[in-house]
Formats: sequence, structure tokens, C-alpha cells
Amino acid sequence: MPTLDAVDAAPLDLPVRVQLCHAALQHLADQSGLDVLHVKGPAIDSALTDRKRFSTDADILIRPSHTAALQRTLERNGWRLVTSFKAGSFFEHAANYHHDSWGYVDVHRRFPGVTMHPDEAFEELWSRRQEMVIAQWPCPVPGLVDQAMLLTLHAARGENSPRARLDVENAFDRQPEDFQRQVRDRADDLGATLALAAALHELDQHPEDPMTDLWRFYAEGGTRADEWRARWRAALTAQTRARVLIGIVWVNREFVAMELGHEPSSAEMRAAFYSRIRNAVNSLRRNPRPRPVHPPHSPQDQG
Amino acid sequence: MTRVAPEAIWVPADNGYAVGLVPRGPVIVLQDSSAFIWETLQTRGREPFVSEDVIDEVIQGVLDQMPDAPRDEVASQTRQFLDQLLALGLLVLD
Repeated sequence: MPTLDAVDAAPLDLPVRVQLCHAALQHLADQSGLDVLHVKGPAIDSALTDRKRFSTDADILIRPSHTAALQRTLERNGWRLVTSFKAGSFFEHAANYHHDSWGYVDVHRRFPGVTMHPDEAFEELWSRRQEMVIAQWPCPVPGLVDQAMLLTLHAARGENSPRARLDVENAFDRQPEDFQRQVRDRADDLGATLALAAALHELDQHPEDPMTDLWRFYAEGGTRADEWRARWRAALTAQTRARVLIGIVWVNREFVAMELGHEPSSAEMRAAFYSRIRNAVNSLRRNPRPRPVHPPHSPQDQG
Repeated sequence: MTRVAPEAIWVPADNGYAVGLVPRGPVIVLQDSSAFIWETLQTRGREPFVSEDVIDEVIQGVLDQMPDAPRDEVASQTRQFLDQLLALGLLVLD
């Protein structure tokens, strides 16, 4: 009989850790009375994935009004903030936390592409939730149509990567026509028509939308300069345009810390700032004009 | 009474069972025969509360699967393993 080395350290496969992470998070949510929907990775119904797709972290969508409470709960229980909402992405939709036992989680407070008010959108998704057992723990997940929609919307930001294409293939293309229609209807209901069009390469049907170029960038990829030009066109107010400009040169302290492996000093932050400006200028020099692939926008949208 | 800790979560893994205790961990991987014992345990302990002699039951379950193994050694190793689970909080004695 082999020796019972029960507690000997052994390598933990990432997909296994991600499942445990989902269950651990749901336990915390249950304890604190917080509404959480588990999305992507092991929370995807087998009808929508080929299971070759592994996540490196757990993804959850928190009821927006519960966000602060969840963050407090995570921090009380050994989770460390890696990337804040503000630093995470253009959409400021997700914060990333790490736990020594459970690994990484992306906490979403809204889903990019869904333009319905986040509180209402969550309630819509919550009202059609299902339950999935992950690591022996019952976890609420969106309904099947909503899962397909969210997976497709997520792929819309995949810059046409093989993984994004596979997700669209599994969650949408291979599904019956009636199911696809339900996904489209649901996207319309949640104000996600444009993002869904990006994932399905149907953006040409929306030439007038100021967000079209941005979604085209996310769906198809491009240079940093393409991205900033698209952001500029999508920003219709002075305030949002100012934020775009700030974003071009703004240095993310958390990213610098991750790169350096320690909290950056003032000098290191200054160096990162100058490097950011140099890169932005070089990028614009290399790509002096936007790609001429879209009809012109109205005059106020021209950057 | 003995029960599997309600806070224990587990996932079958290529190298055994990955078991963790929520909310804080740790995560351990039970390998080889220890994974087999865990499976026996969680199968028999699926209800929140199980019979008082669940440990003896598990030992007997292991022995049933390995009739040729030396009984004392199997019993000793199994009890040692269950003690480790108790120490980690993955089993609870009420």
C-alpha cells in the first residue's frame, strides 16, 4: 500500500484551482448575503464550450450595489487587490484580486458591451439565473441564452484571436437558428447590439454609431494609435475626451509595480511616465492616419 | 458525530483530489491511496451528519477494496490520514 502522504505539496493544475476559486468565492458571497453570478470558464454550460478552453482565473459578476461589500469581504479573507477597476480597462469594468490558495479572480461590476444601466442589467441576468455545481458548491450562473450572449460579447474584445473565434463558434455559430435569434434579442434588450455585431463581424451595419470604430478595434485588433483614435471618436463630451487624453499618458502604478516586482519609487514612476509619452508619440508617428475603413462620422466626432 | 467539513470543497484532479477549506484555504492535493480514501469518505459522508463510527466505516471500506493488504497497516495508515484531515479542519468531529 502506498504511503499516505496526504498533505505533501503537489502541483495543482490551473483549471482545478480556478474551480476551487469559484466555490470559495461563492462561499464568501453566501456568508455575506451578496449576489454573484459566475461567468466564463468552468461556469459555462457544456453546450456552449468544447471544454478545451481553460481560464487562468475565475470570473464573477457582482450585483453593482454589492461591489463595495464584496471588496471588503475579499480583503478580510486574504485576497489582495492586483488591478483596480479604474486601472483595469477602458471600460473600468473589472478589478483583479489574488489569493494564495485560490489564485486570481476578476470581479466584474458590469459587462463591456452591455449599455443598459448596470443595476438593471444585473437584475435582468439575475432573474434568469441557473445553478451550477462547481467544486461541490452550488454557484449561480446566468441562464443559457445569457451565457451565450456574454461569451460572445467577451469574444468581441478578443482582437480576433483563435480563442475568441472558437468562443463565437461554440456559443453562437454552432447553435440552432432559434437559439441564435434569442441571443440577438437578448443583446438588443440589454443594449448590447453593437458589441454583439462586433463579435459577429456585422459592424458595417452600424456605420453611424460613434462606438463602432472602438468595437472594431477590440474585435479585429490594431495599433495603439488606432485604439486611441477610436476612443477619441467614441468620446462625445469634453469630459470624456479629457479622460481619453489623460489615459494616453497616464501611468498605472499597479502595472509598474507588477513589472518591477516591487512598489515603484517616485523616480521609477517618473521614468514610466516619460517612457509612456515616448511610446505614445512613436506610435502616432508610425501610424499617422487612421485606417480608412469606415464611413466618416459627424463633424463633432472627428478627432 | 463526525462529518465532512461543510466548508470543504474539492475537485477531482489528474493527480488525485484537490481539497480546500473555505474561506481561507489551504488547498492540498490528496494523492494515490489517500485520494481513494477521500473518495470513500465523501461518498459515505455525503449527508451533513453521518454515523458516529464513520471513521471505522471508512477503514472498513478501504479494507474491503484491498483484502490482500495487511489489515493493521491499512487501518493505521487510514486513521493517520483521517487524523491529518481532522488537523487541517477538513473533517469535523462534533
